[in-house]
Amino acid sequence: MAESGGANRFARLEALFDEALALPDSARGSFLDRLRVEDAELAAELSRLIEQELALQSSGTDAAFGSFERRLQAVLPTAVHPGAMLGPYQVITELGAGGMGRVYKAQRRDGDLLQTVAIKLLRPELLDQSLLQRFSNERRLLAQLSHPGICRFIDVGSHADGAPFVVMELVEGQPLLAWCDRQRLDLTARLKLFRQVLAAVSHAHQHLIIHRDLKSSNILVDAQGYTRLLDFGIAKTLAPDEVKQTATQDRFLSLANAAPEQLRGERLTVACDIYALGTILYELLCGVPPFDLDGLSAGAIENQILTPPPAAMTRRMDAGDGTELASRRGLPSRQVLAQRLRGDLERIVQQCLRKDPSERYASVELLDEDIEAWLQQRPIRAARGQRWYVLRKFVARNRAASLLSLALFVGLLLTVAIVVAQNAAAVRERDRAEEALAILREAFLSADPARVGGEELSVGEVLSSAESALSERANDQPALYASLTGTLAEVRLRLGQNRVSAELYDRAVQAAQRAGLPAEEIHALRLQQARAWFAADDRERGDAVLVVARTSPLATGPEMDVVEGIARIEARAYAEGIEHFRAAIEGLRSRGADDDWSYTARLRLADALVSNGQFADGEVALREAIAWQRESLGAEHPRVALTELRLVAMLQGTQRGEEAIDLARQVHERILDVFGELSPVTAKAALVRGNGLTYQGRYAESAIHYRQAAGILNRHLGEGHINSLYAGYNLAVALSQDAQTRPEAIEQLTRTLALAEVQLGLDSNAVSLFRSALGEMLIDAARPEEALLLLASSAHRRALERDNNPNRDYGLQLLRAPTLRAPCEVGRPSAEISTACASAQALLGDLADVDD
Amino acid sequence: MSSSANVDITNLLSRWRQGEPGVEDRLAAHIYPVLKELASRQIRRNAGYITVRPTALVSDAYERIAEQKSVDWQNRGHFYAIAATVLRRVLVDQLRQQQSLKRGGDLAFVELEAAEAEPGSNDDATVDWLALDQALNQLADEDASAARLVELRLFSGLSVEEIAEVQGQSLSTIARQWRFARAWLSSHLGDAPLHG
Repeated sequence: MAESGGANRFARLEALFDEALALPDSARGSFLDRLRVEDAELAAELSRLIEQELALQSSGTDAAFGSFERRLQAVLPTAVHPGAMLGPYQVITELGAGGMGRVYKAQRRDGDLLQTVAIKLLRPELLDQSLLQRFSNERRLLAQLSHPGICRFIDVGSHADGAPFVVMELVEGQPLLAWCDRQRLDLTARLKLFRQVLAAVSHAHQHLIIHRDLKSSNILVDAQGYTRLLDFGIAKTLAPDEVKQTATQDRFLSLANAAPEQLRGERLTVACDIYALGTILYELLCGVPPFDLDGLSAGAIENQILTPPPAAMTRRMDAGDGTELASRRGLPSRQVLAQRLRGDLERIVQQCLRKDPSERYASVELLDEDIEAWLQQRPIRAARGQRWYVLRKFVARNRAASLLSLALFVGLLLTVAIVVAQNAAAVRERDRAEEALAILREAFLSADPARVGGEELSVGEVLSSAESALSERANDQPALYASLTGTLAEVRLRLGQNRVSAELYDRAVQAAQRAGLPAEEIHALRLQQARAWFAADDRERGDAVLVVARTSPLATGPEMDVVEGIARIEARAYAEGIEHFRAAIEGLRSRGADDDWSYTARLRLADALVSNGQFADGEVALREAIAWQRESLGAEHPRVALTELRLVAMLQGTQRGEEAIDLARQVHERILDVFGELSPVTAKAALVRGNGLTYQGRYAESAIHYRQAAGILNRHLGEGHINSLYAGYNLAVALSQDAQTRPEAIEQLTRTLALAEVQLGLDSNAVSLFRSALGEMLIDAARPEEALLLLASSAHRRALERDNNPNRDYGLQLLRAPTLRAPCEVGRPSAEISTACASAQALLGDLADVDD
Repeated sequence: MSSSANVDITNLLSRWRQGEPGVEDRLAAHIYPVLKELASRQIRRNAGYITVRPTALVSDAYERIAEQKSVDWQNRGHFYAIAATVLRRVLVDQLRQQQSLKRGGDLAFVELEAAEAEPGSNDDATVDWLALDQALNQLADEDASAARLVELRLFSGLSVEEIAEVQGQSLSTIARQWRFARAWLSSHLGDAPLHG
């Protein structure tokens, strides 16, 4: 054969190859035989190639080529025109096309009855006798599927050219996602709808049929709002003898919802439906599918599905317009949506999307149970066995009542966070550590938003140990150190440990600079740093930090206004401070009430107005803050109650004292409902309510509330805690107003004083107040010797000699009381009394020129 | 790489697309050093048993070149197509060099974690790349277009649609061509069936 014939010969070989493969297996032998007569060499080569091709076809997994061919077949078109007949059905119009084939609306006239159906015509290149056979086999099974949520299977048949088709009930409706968005369904409504889908899938699973191609476009919502599942056409029974038929079937699955094992050609179980349900749920909740597959090649898509765990929903959400996503879910902002998705919903979704089928929910029912649990705010299964998770639930339910658990929890989280952050390769674990930290922050803030708990010893201990563990990483992992230390500093600030917090922020900022973190992050830390120094009453350092912050190119945001405002208030430039807070509130308007900056700006504005003598404006500002919180958090939210307590405190001691009492009662009752009788938050409400009654002179009533507060605080914080001591003092003062309860008051205050002397120091300001008050009660109770010994004690004297003691006047006034001198003026006082009398005299003499 | 060289690339790409003879070599001259550097870095890291992700290399090379912001994104497909040819050359060069260093010329394997490869099948996805190169050359002698398709398929990371566009052929032609090329290469690679 001539050289030039080479190319022709090769082209002929290619053509013969196609021709032979198009023949049924049985006809191929005689085709080759005929060729062999004409050109034995060519026939031999063709035979070899066909053998090779058949071997490749039957090799199942097909290695690298599988997906490529899938893609090729997916783009090859097929069409049937309206009017054409598919078996006894006449095509009316095309409804859509997918990876599996095209769908037509068709009808069949059966006597007078006109039956309208949907027909799915499979791609002819998928034409395969076994496929049709399988459909026939499954027909009986599919017919068993009788569930309101599943579109009814009617028949299978084959088109004139041999293409198989499936006849199904025609369902009119909108695809699930589009419907939810259009209806602006909130998360709860979406989840309820999703449970309908789960019920349908569960029904199929009970009949040993898995769907294998679940996707949101396969789920329609009808006019009545019920979901209908389409396309159980490629359903596969779970019977074991059918298991091997995966390779060919999977050619038409939808990659966006396909489970890893489907791409790997492995045995499929209900787990692949769970995975697909997870992808649907993911998008239903956050508006974005788990993986961004747009524009990726088939291989890259497979890699996405097989390798990386899906990003958290809140992170993927950033790809879209957050505000729009939130608004389609009836929520005010992206932040609120993110907050609701974080935690349990994320865990449920991730549990569906595990790469390893055995790590997913074992059944649709279990998934459904978790969603139900979420809807009822119970712990979910996906988190079972996670200690920190259970603790978090506990904390959430018991709020501030569980500070001790919280301490353990914090310790655990930080240990986990530090350990796993060392292993940067474990991306999933690191994400989890980040999540753990986010939870830590959230738990702290929600546990004690009002700081009523104050410093609880074990929390402090745990934080300290975490801080020292962290300090070891300051040099080798400055970025990690900066972010964790920043979190700890925030926690300290919330607990009112302002100086510790400020010092931590100092270190966090330094580390952030060393680590070369982005300017925004450093600036954000610095603003907190300034705020912490102001809170710690160190204006000089606060101002110094602020001066640096002002040099940042980012120094114009609303957060900056908050800090500037605080600095102005510290400098008593109230009017300027007020301007800054107003600007900040305006700039932060889009944020939810869970945003700390926004909340701070509003509270500080109210305080600043009152400080500036604009009492009425202050009240308006505080009421606006409450309305804003209610709108965003709901009227029942504990934080709303805590802000209302501030309003109560503002009204107390004014002419509207009765109004304050009334409001305090409402808030107190609501807090009791939410937090229970034993929470420090309830104690705070009781204290505020008691104060209101005290201001109005209704001591008997205030004693009741003080007693409740003292009981709770003693129990949770210990009797020696400053808050417990103040509650005890208030209780004693209220009781002392009535001669009948005065002995109890004296007993109470004696005890409080003894504890305070130990906890706060013998000559501290608070102790001198308690001592003066006890002295006054003793005088009133006609026990002047005891009063004298107390009020003339050297510790009390030391306290009164201090210039900065705000209770000095009160103490001196008592010393001058004539009844106190009575024991000194009797005939022969004891040595002890004489010393006391001399001491009191000396004190009054020393201070005579200063006071009075 | 100087910016004038990159202006050239855009220009060359559009001329190459119009089928101007000789342009491909000039383009390759631009891309070759970048790809070579990237590939040897990868190979160095995995001395002996070489793991190369061709499509990753190509996209790295593209980014490296596109970084100079002169390569038009619209030409990405064409760039990848050219790079596929170059990458094949780079890899084969590297392998030859490596083999010449090895006593007895033990086979060096490229583990092809090609973009389309199913990672689950990586264990047996080793290819005697030099043999494949040889077979591809033979195929190119008979049907250049089919050989080119295989090259694009294995090295470019382009999607099926993009390959069809670059090749100027319909999808169905490509599907048929692919099926044939695959069988042909498999039979010419003897005992080492082409798993990719």
